Amino acid sequence: MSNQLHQTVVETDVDNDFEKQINVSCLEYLLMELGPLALRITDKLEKYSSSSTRESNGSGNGNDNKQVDDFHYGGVELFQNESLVSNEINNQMLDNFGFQIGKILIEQLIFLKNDGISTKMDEILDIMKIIARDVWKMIYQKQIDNLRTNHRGTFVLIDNSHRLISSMYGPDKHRISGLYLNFSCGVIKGVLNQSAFKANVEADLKSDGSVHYTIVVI
Amino acid sequence: MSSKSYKSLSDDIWKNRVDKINSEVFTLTYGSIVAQLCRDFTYAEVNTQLEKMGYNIGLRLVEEFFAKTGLGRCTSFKDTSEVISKIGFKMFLNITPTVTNWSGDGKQFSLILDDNPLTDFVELPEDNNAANELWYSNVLCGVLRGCLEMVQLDCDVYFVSDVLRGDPITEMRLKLNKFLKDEVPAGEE
Amino acid sequence: MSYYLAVIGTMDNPIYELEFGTFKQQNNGKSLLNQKQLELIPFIINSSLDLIEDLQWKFNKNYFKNYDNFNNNFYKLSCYLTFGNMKLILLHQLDDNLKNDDNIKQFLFEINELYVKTMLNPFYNVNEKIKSEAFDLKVKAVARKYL
Repeated sequence: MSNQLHQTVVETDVDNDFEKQINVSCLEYLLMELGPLALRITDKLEKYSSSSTRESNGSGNGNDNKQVDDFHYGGVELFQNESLVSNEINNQMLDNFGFQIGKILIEQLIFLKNDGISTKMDEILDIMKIIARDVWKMIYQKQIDNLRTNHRGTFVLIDNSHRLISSMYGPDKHRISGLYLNFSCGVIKGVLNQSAFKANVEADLKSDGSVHYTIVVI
Repeated sequence: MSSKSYKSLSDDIWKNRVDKINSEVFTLTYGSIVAQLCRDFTYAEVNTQLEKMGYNIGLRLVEEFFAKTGLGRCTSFKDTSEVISKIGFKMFLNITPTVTNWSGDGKQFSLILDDNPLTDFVELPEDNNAANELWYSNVLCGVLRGCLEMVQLDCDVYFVSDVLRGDPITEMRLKLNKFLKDEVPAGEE
Repeated sequence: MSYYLAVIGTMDNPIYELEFGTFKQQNNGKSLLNQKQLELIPFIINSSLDLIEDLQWKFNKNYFKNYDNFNNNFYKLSCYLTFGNMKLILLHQLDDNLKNDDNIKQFLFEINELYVKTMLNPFYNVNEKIKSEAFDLKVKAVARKYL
C-alpha cells in the first residue's frame, strides 16, 4: 500500500493541478443547486430531531410531513414550502458553505499570485480589492462593479447583476435570492476571517437588480 | 456518427463553444458540500443526497448539451455510451472516460475515469468508514441518471470502484432498465 | 546534520512534526539527534514563537531566516509564516556551509505549497493535525530534494 502511495506521490505533476479547466456551467449548476440542497438538508435534519422529540412527547408534527422526498422535476417545489425557505438554518448553511470556500480561496489566491514569495497583506483595502477582483472573478466570472469605502472601516461592494439571481424571475424571487446572497456573504466573511479581520457583512438586493454588500470591520 | 467524428466534434465544442474556467473553485465548492454533508449525515445518506443533487443538475444540463452539440437521437445504447463518454464528459469536465465491460445483452457498460476534477487534492478521512461507504463523486451518477431520463432512458448509475477509496481505478456502471414512454395524462387523448 | 520541521497552528498548537537528517553526501536521511536533544526541541521551538510574533508585526515579510538560536548557535531556527498565520519552522544545526541557507528557504517554500494543497482537501479543517500519510511522504520527498 505504501509503495502505491509513493508511486502516486511521485507521478503527480505539481503545476498542472492548478491549471485544469472545466466548463463554466458546471460551477454554475453546482452553485445553483446549493439552494435546494440546503433546503433538503434542513428538512431532513428537522425530521430527525422532530422524530426523536415525537417519541418523547407523543405529539405529532403534522404540517411538516410534506414529503420533501417526493421527487419532482428540478426540485423547484421545495422553494414553495414557505416555512422551509425562511428557516434560519438554511441561511446559516449557505453562509457556512461560502465561508469554507472563502477561507481556502484566499489562501490559494495569495499563494498562486506570488509564487510563494508572498508579501504580507496588512491593509484591509488590499484584501477588499482582492475580493472584488479575483475572488469574484473566480466564482462568478465577473468582478465587483463598484467598491466604495469611507476609509474608516466600512466598505460597500456593488454588484450590478448577481449571476445566480439575475436569471431568476417570478413572485418568489426576493425570498429565494436571499438564500444565495447568504452564500456570497459567507465567501466574504471567510476571506476576511482568514486574513485576520473581523467584520459584519450584509447583503441587500435593490430594486434595480443590483446587490449591495455592506462590510463593517470591527 | 463514427467514433472518430465524435472525437473531433467534442474537441471542436470544447475549443470553441464552451466558456472555460479553472476547476479549483468547482473542486472546492463540491468538496465543501461533501464535507458538510458528512458532518450531518451518515455516509449512506450522503451518497443519496449527492445523487439527488446530481439528478437535479442533470435535468438542466442535458438542455445545454443538446443546444451546444445539435445532436439528434442516438441509434443504440452503444451509441449513447459513445456520446456520453466522448462528448458529454469532454464538454463539461474536459475528461474522456473509457467505455468497457459491456454486458452480454448490451444493456450495461462501465465508464473508467482516469482523471476526475472533483477529486483533486481530496483525501478521504482515515477514520470511520469513509473508505468503505462513501462514494465521493456520486453526484456524477445523479447527473447521468438525470440526463438519460430526459431522453427517455431509465438507467441505474452507480460506482463500482473509486481511486479515493484505494481501488486501482475509478469505475462507474450504467445499467439500462427500460425505455420510458411519454405518458398521456388520463382524460386527454 | 539533522533537521526538525514543525508546523505550528494559529493557537500555538503543533500540527505536524518531522525529524530527519541530511540527504546530501549520501547520508540516508536519518537524524543524528539523541534522545536528550530530541526532548528539548519542542521547547525550543515553542519558546521561539514569541519572537516570531514580535517580528511579524515589525517587518512586513513572511520568511525569517535564522531568527533565533539556542545554545550559542548550536541550533538555529528559520521560519516561514503563511498567510493564515501558520508557522513552518525548521530547526537546524550549525553548518559551515553557507549555501544551505538558500536550500532552507526553498525547502520551506515548497512545504508551504504542500500545506496549501492540504488546505484544499475538504476533509481537512484548519488548525487540525495533519494525519495524512501522503503529506508525510511528500514532505520527505521535498527534504530529499533540498536538504
